[in-house]
Amino acid sequence: MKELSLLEIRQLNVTVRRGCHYVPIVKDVDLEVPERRSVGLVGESGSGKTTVLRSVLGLLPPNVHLASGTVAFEGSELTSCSERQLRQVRGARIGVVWQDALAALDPVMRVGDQIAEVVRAHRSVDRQGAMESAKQLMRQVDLPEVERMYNAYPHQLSGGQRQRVVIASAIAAKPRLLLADEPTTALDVTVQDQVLALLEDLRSELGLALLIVTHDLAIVDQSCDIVAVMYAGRIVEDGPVREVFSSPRHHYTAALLRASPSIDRPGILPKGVPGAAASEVALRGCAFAPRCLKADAICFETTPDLTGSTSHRAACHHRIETKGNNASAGSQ
Amino acid sequence: MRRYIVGRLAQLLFVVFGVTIATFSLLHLVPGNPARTLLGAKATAREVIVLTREWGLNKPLPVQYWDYLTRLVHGNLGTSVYYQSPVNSLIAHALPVTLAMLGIGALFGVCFAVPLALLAATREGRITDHVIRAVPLVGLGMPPFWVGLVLLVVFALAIRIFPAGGYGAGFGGHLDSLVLPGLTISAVTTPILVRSMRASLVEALNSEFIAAARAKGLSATRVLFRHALRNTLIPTVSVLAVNLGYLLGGTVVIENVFGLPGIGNLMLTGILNRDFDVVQSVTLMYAVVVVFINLAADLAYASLDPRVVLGR
Amino acid sequence: MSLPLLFADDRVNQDTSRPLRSWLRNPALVTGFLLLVVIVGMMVCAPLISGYSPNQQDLYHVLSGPSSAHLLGTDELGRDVWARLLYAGRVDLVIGVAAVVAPFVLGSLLGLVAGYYGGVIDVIIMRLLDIVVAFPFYVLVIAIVFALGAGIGSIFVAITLVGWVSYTRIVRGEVLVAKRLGYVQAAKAGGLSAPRILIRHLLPNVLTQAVIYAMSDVVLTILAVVTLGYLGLGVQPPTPEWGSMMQEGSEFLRIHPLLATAPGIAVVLVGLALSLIGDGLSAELGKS
Repeated sequence: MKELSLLEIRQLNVTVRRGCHYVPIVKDVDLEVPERRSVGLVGESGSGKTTVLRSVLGLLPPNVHLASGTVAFEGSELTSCSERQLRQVRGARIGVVWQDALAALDPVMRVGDQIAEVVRAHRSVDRQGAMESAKQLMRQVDLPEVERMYNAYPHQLSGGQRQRVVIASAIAAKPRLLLADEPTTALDVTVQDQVLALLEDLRSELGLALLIVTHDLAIVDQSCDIVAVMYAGRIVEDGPVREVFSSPRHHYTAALLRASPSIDRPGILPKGVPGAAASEVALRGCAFAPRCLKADAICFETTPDLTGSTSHRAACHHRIETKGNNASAGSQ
Repeated sequence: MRRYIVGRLAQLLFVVFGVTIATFSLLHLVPGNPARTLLGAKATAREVIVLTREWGLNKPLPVQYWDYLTRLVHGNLGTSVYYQSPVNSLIAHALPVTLAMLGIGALFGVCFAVPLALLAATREGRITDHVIRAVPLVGLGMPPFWVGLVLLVVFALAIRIFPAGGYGAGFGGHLDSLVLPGLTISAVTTPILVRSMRASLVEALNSEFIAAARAKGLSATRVLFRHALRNTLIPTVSVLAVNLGYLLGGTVVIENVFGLPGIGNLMLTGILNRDFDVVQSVTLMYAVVVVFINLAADLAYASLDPRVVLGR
Repeated sequence: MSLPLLFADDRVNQDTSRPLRSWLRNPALVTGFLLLVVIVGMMVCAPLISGYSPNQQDLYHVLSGPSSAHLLGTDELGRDVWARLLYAGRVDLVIGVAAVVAPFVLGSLLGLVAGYYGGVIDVIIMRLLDIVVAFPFYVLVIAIVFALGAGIGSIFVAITLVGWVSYTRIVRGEVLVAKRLGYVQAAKAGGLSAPRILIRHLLPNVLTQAVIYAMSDVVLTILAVVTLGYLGLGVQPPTPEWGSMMQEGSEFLRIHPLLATAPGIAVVLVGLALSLIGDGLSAELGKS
């Protein structure tokens, strides 16, 4: 029996307006985040992964449009919600952890107040009550000297502390899903582990589902149950982390794994992926074909569909076969 | 902080020195005999000699400058030939009028600019935005005194709501007579403020922390006012301060249009009547005021923006 | 604090090989330029359009309103307002543009020197700047014109003495930034002498901002000339000048408001045209 999906994205298409044309940047994306599970959305910069995340809450920049597709959260369709309805979802049901905490925080407002305002927006408490809740949250994310830190400004905190503040405001209204956009990229390596561990703890404490957008496979390896790999605006492979990482079916995934220094391959040196990442959606053929060693004519002609077993799918005409892998041969 | 203020005051002192030298040389800039400059072309040789002796104009320049400085330090700003009274008291009466006018003008400017900037920034790229962006374009080309004249024609002569000039009597009368001049000044402040506020609001609204605030589920009002606007106020304070100096100069002409007895008017009558002490002292005073305004603006900026650490 | 780039190379749909095309598509630039052409055209053709000499008095028809004979009526000496408006425009525009040249040159030079050499020279120039800046613009200009006696020459001197400041600031700022960039270091390493570096290499690159500012400065200068004219300190009568026209007209606000308001509208229109051009230019030149 399939797990209950908290978030279900179907056939998401996002376009950006350049001059008089509309250029697609996300194409036919299907993504699911089951309850209490952690999903990693992986890709290089330009792959469209951040756009997918922003589409969920309707936070796309002015010239970017959600052309088609559905985003269902707890059964309700978010794309047809009014701004007012969306506001009730934001923060209260879905929280966001941002990449650059310094940029995500208001530079002229005390950090404690920034957490408190989330509480006040979604629960009817007075200022004092909100302040207390904020301090409680700050303790929950392991921020030291809460009393003093409440009155600090963002620029006075370290990167790791700022990120914790962002996490605190993301969970302040007790959401059920947390969207994290490269939550550790701007941090030092040592702090990265701490923050990931914190996210993990909070997940189990609060029963949160997690959607992490990242380019770092190690994070997905460490924190996620399910992974979806994006390339040039499309999902090229998805499935359980263990399975995808041990037997990748798409050549891009395989290349990424080879290039990643820490995943499960001690002693093997990382190998770069040749060529530059494509940043535009390929309208014909597979976007990865120019860089793929196994590409042939059909790869340039026809866009492969995302197919495979129900749990592990890949969009490739020439899937990587490994023993014990009973994927259907060839393309669809 | 204290060190910073002391440092700035030292800088101020230096500038004031320079200013006194500049105002002192005003008289001596002119080719020819300074006494003749003061008395005008029609003066007789006799009058010139008398004045030269009286004012010590034949002493060497450094000595004259020293005398001038000593006089200043004692608070003596000279005597007005035209009004036959000490310049100190003239300025004391005139300054409040000008400051009141500037204050009202700045207030009007802010009251007009904020809603316009908010409207333009929230509807960026649409028609409303383009229309509002035209305001600075048209406004910056308007001579302030012309605006005053137009306002006079419409509100004082055609529809008689406000007085056509003068300062009026009593607090109410004063305010009444400052409305049109204040509006005239806002014709200068509003375009400048709209332009800079709109630009900085647009920048703020497109920034990451505003997206983050919206993602928290905060209401649009709160996002706009508490976050976007708050961040915009800070650079606006600098813009206002920088332009205050320019505005101060504009008061000279505006007071003329409305017949207000402020320092601008004092300056003009001083010029037209060759009342040298008045011109010199008022010019000096303008400069000192501007330097203080800049200091105050820096301090205000520092207190508003927690990221600024003065003195580094 | 801008949104994170959504994709690696943000190729904007622009024709970079034909800059002129881009200029022609810029609405501000085009509108401003057209407006300016119309205005200047009218002034140049003044004798053809107006039919009256600006100083031609007709004491039988003073202070008359707009009519078929006189487009905007006549002033207190029976002179045709429309003709005076056009001829005054010539005076104000020419002076306005010409008066920007000296501050531009002087200020840019000082800024170049201050920024490049730094040290004592920089300190001296900046302190001088502080002193000039301490005075409100109009106060200083009026005082200088007063000291030197009213007239066009004094206007030029006064505006130069007060107006160089903005250019120095701008150019000095640009030089300080450019000093660290590659091409300056390369020129130095190549053994080029300082003046040569300054003029051949530095100048063209740092002047862009100064030129953009000069556009808006022309507007400010015209305003200053007009204001001085209003105060009787500028261009002397009987030469028609917008400011002095407004001064004369202010006495007749009740009977013939057009006298004082028409010249102002002319100033606003010129200011609008120049500001549009300035805005358009800064958008285009900033695209590099």
